[in-house]
Amino acid sequence: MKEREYMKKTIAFIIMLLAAVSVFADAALTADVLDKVMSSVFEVLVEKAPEENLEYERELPLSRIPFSIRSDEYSPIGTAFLMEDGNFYSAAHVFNLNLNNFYKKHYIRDRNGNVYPVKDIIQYASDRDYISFSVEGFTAPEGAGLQQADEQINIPVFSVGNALGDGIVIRNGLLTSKTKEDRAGAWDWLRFSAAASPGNSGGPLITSEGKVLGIICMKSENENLNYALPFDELLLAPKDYGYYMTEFDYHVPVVQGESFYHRYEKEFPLPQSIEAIQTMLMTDYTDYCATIAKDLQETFRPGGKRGFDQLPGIAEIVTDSANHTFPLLLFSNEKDNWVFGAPSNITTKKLSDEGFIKSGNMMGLNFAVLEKPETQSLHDLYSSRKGIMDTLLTAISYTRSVDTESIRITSFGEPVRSETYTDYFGRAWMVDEWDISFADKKILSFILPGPSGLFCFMGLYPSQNVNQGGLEDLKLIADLVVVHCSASFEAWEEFLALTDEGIIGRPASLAGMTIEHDAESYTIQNNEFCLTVPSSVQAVKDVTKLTMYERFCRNDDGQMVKKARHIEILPTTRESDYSYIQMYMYSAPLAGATKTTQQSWARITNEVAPYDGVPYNKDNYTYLDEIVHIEGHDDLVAIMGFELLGQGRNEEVRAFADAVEQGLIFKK
Amino acid sequence: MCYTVDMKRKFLFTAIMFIMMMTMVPLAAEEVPFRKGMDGVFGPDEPDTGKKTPSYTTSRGWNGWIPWLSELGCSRKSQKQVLKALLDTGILYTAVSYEKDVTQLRPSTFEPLMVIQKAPDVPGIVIYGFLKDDPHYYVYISYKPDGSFYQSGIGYYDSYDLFLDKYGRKTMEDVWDDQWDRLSDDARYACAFSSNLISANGHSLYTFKIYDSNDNMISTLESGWNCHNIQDVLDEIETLSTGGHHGSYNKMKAMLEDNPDKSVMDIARDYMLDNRDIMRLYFVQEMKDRLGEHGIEAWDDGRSICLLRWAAEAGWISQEEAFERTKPITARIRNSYSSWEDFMAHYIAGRGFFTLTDLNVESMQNSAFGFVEEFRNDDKFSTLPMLSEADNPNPILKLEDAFYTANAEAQRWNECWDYFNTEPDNVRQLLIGQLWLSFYPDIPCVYMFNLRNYFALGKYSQSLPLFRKAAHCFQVPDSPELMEAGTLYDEFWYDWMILANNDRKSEEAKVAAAMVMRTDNLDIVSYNLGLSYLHQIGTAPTQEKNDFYREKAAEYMAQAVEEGYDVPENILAYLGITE
Repeated sequence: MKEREYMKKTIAFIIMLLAAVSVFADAALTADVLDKVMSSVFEVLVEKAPEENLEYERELPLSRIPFSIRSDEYSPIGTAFLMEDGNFYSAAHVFNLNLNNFYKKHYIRDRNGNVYPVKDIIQYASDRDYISFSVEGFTAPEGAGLQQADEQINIPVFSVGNALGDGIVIRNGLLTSKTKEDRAGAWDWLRFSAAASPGNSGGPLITSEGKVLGIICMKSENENLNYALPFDELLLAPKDYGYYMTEFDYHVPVVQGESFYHRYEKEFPLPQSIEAIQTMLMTDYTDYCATIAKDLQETFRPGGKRGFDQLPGIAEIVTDSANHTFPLLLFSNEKDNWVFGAPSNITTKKLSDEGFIKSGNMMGLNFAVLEKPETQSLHDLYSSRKGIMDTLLTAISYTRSVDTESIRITSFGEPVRSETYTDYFGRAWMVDEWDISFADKKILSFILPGPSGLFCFMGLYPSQNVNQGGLEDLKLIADLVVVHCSASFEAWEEFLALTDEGIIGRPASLAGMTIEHDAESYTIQNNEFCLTVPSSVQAVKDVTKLTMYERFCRNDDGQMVKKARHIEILPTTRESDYSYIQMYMYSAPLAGATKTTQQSWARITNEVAPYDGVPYNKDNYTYLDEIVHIEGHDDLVAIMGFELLGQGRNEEVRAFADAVEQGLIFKK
Repeated sequence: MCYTVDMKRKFLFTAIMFIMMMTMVPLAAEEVPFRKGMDGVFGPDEPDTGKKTPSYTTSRGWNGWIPWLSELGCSRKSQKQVLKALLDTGILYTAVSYEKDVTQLRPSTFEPLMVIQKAPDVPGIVIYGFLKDDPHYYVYISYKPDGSFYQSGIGYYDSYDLFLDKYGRKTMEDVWDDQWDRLSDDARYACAFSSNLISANGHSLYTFKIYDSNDNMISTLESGWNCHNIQDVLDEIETLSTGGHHGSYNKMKAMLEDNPDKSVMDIARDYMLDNRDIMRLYFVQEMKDRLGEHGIEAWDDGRSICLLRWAAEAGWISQEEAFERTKPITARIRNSYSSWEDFMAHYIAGRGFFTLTDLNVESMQNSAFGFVEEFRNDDKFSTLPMLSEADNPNPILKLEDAFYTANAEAQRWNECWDYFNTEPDNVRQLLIGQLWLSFYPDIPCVYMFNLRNYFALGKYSQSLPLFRKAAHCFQVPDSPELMEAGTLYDEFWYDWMILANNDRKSEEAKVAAAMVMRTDNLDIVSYNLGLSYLHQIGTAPTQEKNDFYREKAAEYMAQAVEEGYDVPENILAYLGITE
């Protein structure tokens, strides 16, 4: 009985063993096949970009990055394989030939660590996502080079590739089905269940005999169902030209309710060197995107076909007199209405000597106002772009993740490119480009100098996007920013002097502006007005600030312009000699204005209270508002406002007003 | 030939072929082919359905086929084998007449063909066998669905009532001689000139009436000739008279004569000829001197007479009227050829011309020749007086000279066509097909062969490079004659327009649309032009240009709607043509 029992167990074991071997046979490659595959599959690499420019709040904990990655001078970006025809094959998206990024030089690396530069592109199509190429100095080892397999469904398959950039790995699954590509059903994707990770792209999908079924191109988001291009597609592919195509919806930050569909296509002769194709495609694609952005800028900037000044609501925008503490951005909201906006999450970072940075973000961009420390001269501030950015980075946070840590970047170093952009309203912005090469990104910053510091907005872009629309998008933002400048008389004088010296640009709205002050009086004048106030009426002290607001108006040609027609002069402290002067040259509403706007204009021109020149008391102040009609202008008046500290100073405020208005001249 | 079986007997089958039969179940329902007039029924009478057997033939044995067997997957050949197998079981068929006299027949006494059908009043199957010596006799046996025997009997085909009454039991030759004797001279010519096709279809050779079922002839005329009434038949005869295959032959002949210095391939290139015309050109080049002035008119004339005889049998026209209408045709033939054999030789040549693209010219010509050879010594046809040789300006064509043999150049073209005549199963075959372009680099139809192969594999998008490569072969010809001759020009540009649009190659699609010259589908061309512009919206970097594309798309889509194209509603709405 025992023998019989033993026999039973033995037989059962043999059966199980055979079953296991059978399963294993399906799930594994023979040693010969494995060797052939491993000698025929390569990593695709790019050189790591230098990043000496960046400074961090502390030393990066690079030891926490895996050794193989941190010690590698290349970054793996995908997989390629050698076929028996002697050509290498991969997925087109591994080689982003159109993108003007940090990784322009491509290499392959064999299993022994030998690196070879990619030389000529032989076949290329971005829609089907394939590329074939030759490499420089490569001699195929004996037996290397894969063969094509006959397509079959429901067979064991193996994905071979540089999964997660950690070297070539082979994983098994089933070729389950085919599925039509989405756009026009022009070809079938192979769908397989063998695992595929980032880095597998461009690798071969092989049979258990090591023959190639297709090129691994895509993976599903969450499930282990991946896609490969049948190798047959390359047999049918044109040999004499390549094809690049991409479809995208272009979003303009200041146009929230609309995106703009575009399809870029380019055919180019093959074979050619990879450098030649990169140069051609990058140039062409960059031009295409820049043209889109420029065209949209032309369309949506003031005066453009769809600019805010062409649409209903312009009257309200022009007459909007709200005094704002943070620069405003005019944008088209999701309902296609032009509205003013500002970051809702503004925080303040204090600097030394009363300096500060107010910052917040909106539309994916960081906006900031930098008020320089009182002890810092404007000249000193504007002498270093790096200095400005380093200061801004104390308030605006960009970090680098290393393993689980986020390390703050304290300096981008010097900008890699600087230019001046004069916006639609004639304001000269300092535009700088900064490399964040470890992330293949760039920062674009726009700085508008002011008498007390600057206004800035900046965005983090994939490196290729800077010239492929990013710059133009930000220029449109610059066109639509509404700022006011508030500074001491000394600061204004320094600012104007710097503009005269050409160190910074002078906004068109400040054309002709001069400020003079001495013990006797001060005089502010520009092309619109001249205001002279004796010291006996209002003395200029260190704490006295002059604020100039830009106001929209149309010039004689109907063009929308900004003019410095609105000023305030007041001390920032409330001492007994506190006095406040406002002069606001207010335009009649434009055609199409709402009833409310028209009624408001009627109240002003008819000098209805509070614009009736009658002093009134409120809180702890005595006020007087009145209208000064400007000779020769039916559509323009000056709203004058005066304040004195303490109530009941009606006669004084009247006299104060008369004295100021006596020194006010409107230019023709 | 004598009868060996008494027609009054009834037979009882003893053979049991139940198992074999059941393997063929289920059988499609089929109308019973026999009607009253059957005698010797053992069991319930067969109902009168008014139908006749669809394909029974008297002259040369069984040439018919059994539709419902085909539906089961039996080919004509395998059908024969199946039936033969049934009879070859070696089991005796015991037949018992209702008069009680009993005989036994071995299977070999029956034609090795049987009809197996599902009878309407018998919930099972019926097997029929036909007597070899007099095929209008049959035996039958029927089984219930459970396999048990139901009934059996013997009968005869009722269309031979007249024959049986008049002539009793004569040999078939006696019958045929008698039929021929009764024909008028004109009817004899009609029978003689249409004999080849009449024989091939198993109809009566020596009577003007062909003796087939009304339904069968209607089916033949409808499916084979797309004729649904007498007017269709007359129109077809008119076409055969004025054009037909001999018209094509003459067109090819004219092409060769107009281009004496050009090779067939030069002409194929210049005239953008499709494969069929190229094959015909080779044929005409080889045969025209042998065939003389009348070319292959005999092929169309012979078929015209056939059509009239069939139309009469279909009941669309009286036998008398059909006969009258054959007279001008037979008169023309009599005055064009010097003998029935001369006529038949031209007819056989025409048979070859007709079947060129099937690449089985030899077998088809042999098939036609087989009949002629059988009858060439039969004084019924061969002695009919025709145009005297002295009066005949054309060469007398011998039967042996009617055969077309492709020369080496034509043979290579046949090989090319043979390759493309089968749709490819995979991409490699498709690529091999392109190798033919190295032999025929400027021949439009070779590009079309390759393109059609791409379409067969569903590789529409991938075919676009080939369109581009082929474009130089499909330029607008210099003369209208060339354009008229070319059958591929519009097909090429039309297909390119559609496929380029499918792949969003708008500029290509627009160019192709501009080249399309056919005017029968302007709506589709307008729609495709609209589609080209629609696809271009967004391709330009500037809004102005994209707006232009939108306007043009709307313009062409509106035009397509006006021309009757059913433009999808979502497109119309997107372009603002509808709400």
